[in-house]
Amino acid sequence: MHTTSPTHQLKPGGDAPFDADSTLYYLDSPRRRLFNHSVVLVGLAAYALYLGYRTCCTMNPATPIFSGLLLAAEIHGFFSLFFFFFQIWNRRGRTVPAPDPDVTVDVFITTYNEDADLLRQTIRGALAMRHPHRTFILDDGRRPHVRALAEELGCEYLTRSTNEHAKAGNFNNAFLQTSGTLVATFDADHVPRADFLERTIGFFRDPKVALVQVPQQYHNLDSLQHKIDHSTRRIYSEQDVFFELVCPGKDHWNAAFFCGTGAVLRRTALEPYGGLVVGSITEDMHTCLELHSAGWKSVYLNEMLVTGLAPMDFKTFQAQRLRWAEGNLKIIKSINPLTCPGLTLGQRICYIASMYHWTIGIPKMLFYLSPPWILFTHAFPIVNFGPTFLTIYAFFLVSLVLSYRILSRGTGRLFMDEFFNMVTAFTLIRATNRMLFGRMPAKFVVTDKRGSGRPSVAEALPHIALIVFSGLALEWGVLSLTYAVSDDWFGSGATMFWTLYNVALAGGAVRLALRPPQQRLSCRFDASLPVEVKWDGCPAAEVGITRNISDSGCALLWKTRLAKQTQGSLVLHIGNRQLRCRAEILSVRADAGSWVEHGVRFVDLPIADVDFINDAVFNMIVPRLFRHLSRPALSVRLLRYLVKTATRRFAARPNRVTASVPVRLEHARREWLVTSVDISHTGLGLVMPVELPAGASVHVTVFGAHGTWDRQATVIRTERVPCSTPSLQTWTTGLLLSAADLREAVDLEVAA
Amino acid sequence: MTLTYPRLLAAAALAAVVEFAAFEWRYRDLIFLASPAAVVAAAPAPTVARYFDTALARPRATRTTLEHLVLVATARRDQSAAIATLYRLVQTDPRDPHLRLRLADALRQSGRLNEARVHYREVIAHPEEAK
Repeated sequence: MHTTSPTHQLKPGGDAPFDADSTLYYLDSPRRRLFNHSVVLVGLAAYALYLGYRTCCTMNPATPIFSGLLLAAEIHGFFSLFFFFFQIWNRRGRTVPAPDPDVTVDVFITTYNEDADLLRQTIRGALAMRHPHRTFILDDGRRPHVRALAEELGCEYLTRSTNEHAKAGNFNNAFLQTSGTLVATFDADHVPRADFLERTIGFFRDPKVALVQVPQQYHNLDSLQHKIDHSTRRIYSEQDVFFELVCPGKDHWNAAFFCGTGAVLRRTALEPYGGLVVGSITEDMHTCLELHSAGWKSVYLNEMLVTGLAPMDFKTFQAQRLRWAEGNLKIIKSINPLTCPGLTLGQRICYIASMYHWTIGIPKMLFYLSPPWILFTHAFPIVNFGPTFLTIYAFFLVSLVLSYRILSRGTGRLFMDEFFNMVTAFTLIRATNRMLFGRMPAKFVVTDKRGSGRPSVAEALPHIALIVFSGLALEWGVLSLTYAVSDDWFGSGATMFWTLYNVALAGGAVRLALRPPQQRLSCRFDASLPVEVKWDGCPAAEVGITRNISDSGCALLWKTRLAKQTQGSLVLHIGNRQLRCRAEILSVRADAGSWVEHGVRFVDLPIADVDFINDAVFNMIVPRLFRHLSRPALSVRLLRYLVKTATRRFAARPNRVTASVPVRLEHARREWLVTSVDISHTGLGLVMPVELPAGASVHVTVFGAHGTWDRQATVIRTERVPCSTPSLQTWTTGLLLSAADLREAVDLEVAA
Repeated sequence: MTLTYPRLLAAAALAAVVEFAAFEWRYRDLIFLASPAAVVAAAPAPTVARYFDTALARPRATRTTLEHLVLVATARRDQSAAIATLYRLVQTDPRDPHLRLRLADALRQSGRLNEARVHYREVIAHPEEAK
């Protein structure tokens, strides 16, 4: 994902109308594209050869149904791979054209039952977007406090007497009462960045563009679909492959589709349908299919311009996936991408691929149930299961893994993808079942943004059943070998290994379902912010640092252990602003190195300060967090390390280590309390709220866990951190310390 | 009732025991015949005969099981049962000359020379497999 895409230079004074296709550019070089295409062809050819061998040489005539089903599941996998490769054949980026200053925009925030504090963040984010616009809160819950919130914040409130057609109906109700040329739409939890409109509406200079979609990123990184590895600074999100690979690939085929939120639509394109197309629970894809069929263009801009909340628990996650799967599959009953007029071949295949993806549940279930079935019945679906088969299978598997890894450019992680296939398999079977045998009427289920607040045992029962079934099959297999019921040690061993792999995946799914529910009312975001606190009874204020923060409290790292319920006056330094409030210690947690972590609650924080913290979170902390966690893949890091090591021999620069400690910096009779980002024996990296000139002499005081030390330093570099809000702008600043006798002090800090 | 790990483990242990009981009920004959041949031979003759017949009648009797049965039959000095089992054993791998040779030897020792001759000839006819 780009932090910022390149700017598109409009031709001055030309008569030719702007064409949005001119903003497209290839994300890969011609040589890399040629390589990618070769990998695609080799991967598909290897799969096809394997299937040919399976069909001709390994079908077991003694178990025709079982053999046939397993082969059918493998053929399904071949088409999955084909569709995936087709969609990512060429990935495209977009340059961003300047917005038309005269275009009018209506911003819709759809809500039904979400909390007011959640809505508050979204409304404030929407109101703060640059470019003139009108913001509407569309409340299907008809709640007086939401009306009051709208009035307080200065946006318009719309509601209706029924909830017909759920979200689409809500949107359409507002659509008929408004008149802006463009309509931007957000879910209640999706907070837009201040430059959202500036970055997206320029594409509508092309009169054929009906939709601009941006990726859905989620700021609650402790959600069910995220996995963060802080040591490698890598983040996995279950939807990364879709938004990072598939959507830029779809954009190549003019098949990027509407994802329901974080999008801008052209009013005239929607007018024939009275807004969004109704009659489906995935109105977004259905609408886009109709728009493409009518000849409109769509644009996918891969920039993080809006962030929302991902499901926090298993139940909510499964409910969301069931709705998506059911809706996507049922669209084919209303409009068939293969036969509907107006679509290009590429668009048809992309839409079929999107629907086909949701049918993966049944073949996956066959793969999960086959090994235990084999162990119970000793009926092998594959004959000639020997070294020849294993060699061919290994060749096929290696080609599959390699082609996926190469083409997913570090985004796709096969094991994690397999894990989430296990998590969703039973839900996708339910969706397929509903599509085939019907369930009337299909009901739109609003995703619970806070989670259900309890472990989802019921939702994990299918996985538990699979583990039990597999475990019993393993025992049966061992007993069978022990008492010579079966003497196929090779086949049984391979089947047991396969069973154990599936049990591990299912066990992970159960663990995910049973994980403790989120207790906090608001999300906490990892952020190292300097804090000054004067605890009651202490003579003077001291300095600490946050580990994470929310609008109701923070995790505070402090040099000494403090008692619970201690209160004090806290000054939080965010950018150029200092936020003052009373604070109370609620908990004392395990030591983090030499620092002690305390759970701190902000006492009676004024609403203006709550808003300020949220502004800082969504415009400064979250983007910084995503940048921090988007470390390149291991191969790239290894290459960089080798280059760095080779050049360091000549530069002789000490290695810098990531370390966040509070630092007071004085320059030109001004002082700032800031945070370090890295540290070495001779230098220091800081995040500064001002831009200091290179060569400036400054005085720094470092507040370490093992004492405070101060030195003169010289600014050697400053670099602007991309930020959509000028008031929260920061710069990373590199300092060269004037005394090189800091080895011991720095080592202590790094250890802490 | 809440789902806890100790409860899950207890349920798993119970399921394992129940499954073993089911396995024991389903394959009682094979479990009995897997005991050392001397132990089997020392058991009451009707019991051994019943389990022997049940095991031999299994359509998917494995080579290991049939080898056990040959040993049991030999220990019980039941030559005809041993030959019947060896016939089944040869069917599991008709190209194995060692099995065929054992069958031919058993037939010769029991005086069924014509049958033995057929199998000896079969072994001689495929010397490359005998190697």
